[in-house]
Amino acid sequence: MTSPAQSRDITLLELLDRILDRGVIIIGDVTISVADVDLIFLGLKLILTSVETAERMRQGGMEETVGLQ
Amino acid sequence: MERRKKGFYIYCVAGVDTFFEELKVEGIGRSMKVYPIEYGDVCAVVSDVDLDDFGDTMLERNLSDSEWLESNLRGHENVIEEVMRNRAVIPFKFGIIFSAETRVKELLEQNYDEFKNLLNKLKDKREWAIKVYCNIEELKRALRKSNAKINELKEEISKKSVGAAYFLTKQVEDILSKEADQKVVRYAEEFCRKFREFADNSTLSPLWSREITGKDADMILNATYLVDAKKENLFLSIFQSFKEHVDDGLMFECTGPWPPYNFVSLPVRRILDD
Repeated sequence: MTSPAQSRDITLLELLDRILDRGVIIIGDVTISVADVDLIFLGLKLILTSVETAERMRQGGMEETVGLQ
Repeated sequence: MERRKKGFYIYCVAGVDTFFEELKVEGIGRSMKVYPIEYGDVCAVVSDVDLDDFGDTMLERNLSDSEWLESNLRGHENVIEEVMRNRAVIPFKFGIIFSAETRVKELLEQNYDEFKNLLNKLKDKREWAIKVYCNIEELKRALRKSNAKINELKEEISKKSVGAAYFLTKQVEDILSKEADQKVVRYAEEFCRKFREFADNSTLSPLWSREITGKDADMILNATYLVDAKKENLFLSIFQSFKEHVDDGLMFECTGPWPPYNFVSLPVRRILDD
């Protein structure tokens, strides 16, 4: 039961799952832009690669990560 | 030189507290200056970000840069964890940025009652995640030993001709698969119910595939619980006892304490949807 921010691997996935919502959002007087969801998955793909699932990701494709919500 | 446009990155909402004057934690963009913007007795915990980093072009580049993404996700989490050490927090998701301080105050003002109410409900409570995995092959091996009907069939197989034995073997496999599936469902329900006894609230999330978890076992439960500080020890001891005493190819994982991400619905969404 380590602190989530300290241990890597699965907790990084959990962190992604918890805090990435629908992209980066800017709320302002004129600017409201919601980042393209694909961008988030692009980021996810790279970050997942760093979580030792690189081989599996390459085999499984990115569709699976949609399961992260 | 052109002046860069500043944005206010919001981490969480909490009660006003002198604690924030001393807050030293590395947030988004490695910013060490994390501070509160107050409205009455609630505040938003923010730090200044360079809007250029979150503009369309840079954002695309940054999000595809795993180092940038990881360090900023952790920055986001670090700040909230620091704040939640001694007080209730309403954690925000990653990447919510306001262009002006007055906008942040508006958010607090417009949602004041809701924030107060939520902070009250979340007082002394933290989020814990329970994930259970099952290696079906191992479960089947265990069932193969204990199931009487299967033992009977196995006995028969040894006496049959090759052709008949083939069909009986297939029958055994079918029974095993079906039983394993039922057992998994029963286990998931049992664990889910047991943990819930010690929680104030719970949510179930979609199961992650093996590709995501990188495990040689299937996830059979992905649950999150909101647990009161007073019940945390009990909750964790239940986890320990499952982990130590339940075999059948099952693996248990518990992470936390997390900010209660899964137990807040942010009014920001509504603002965005307008």
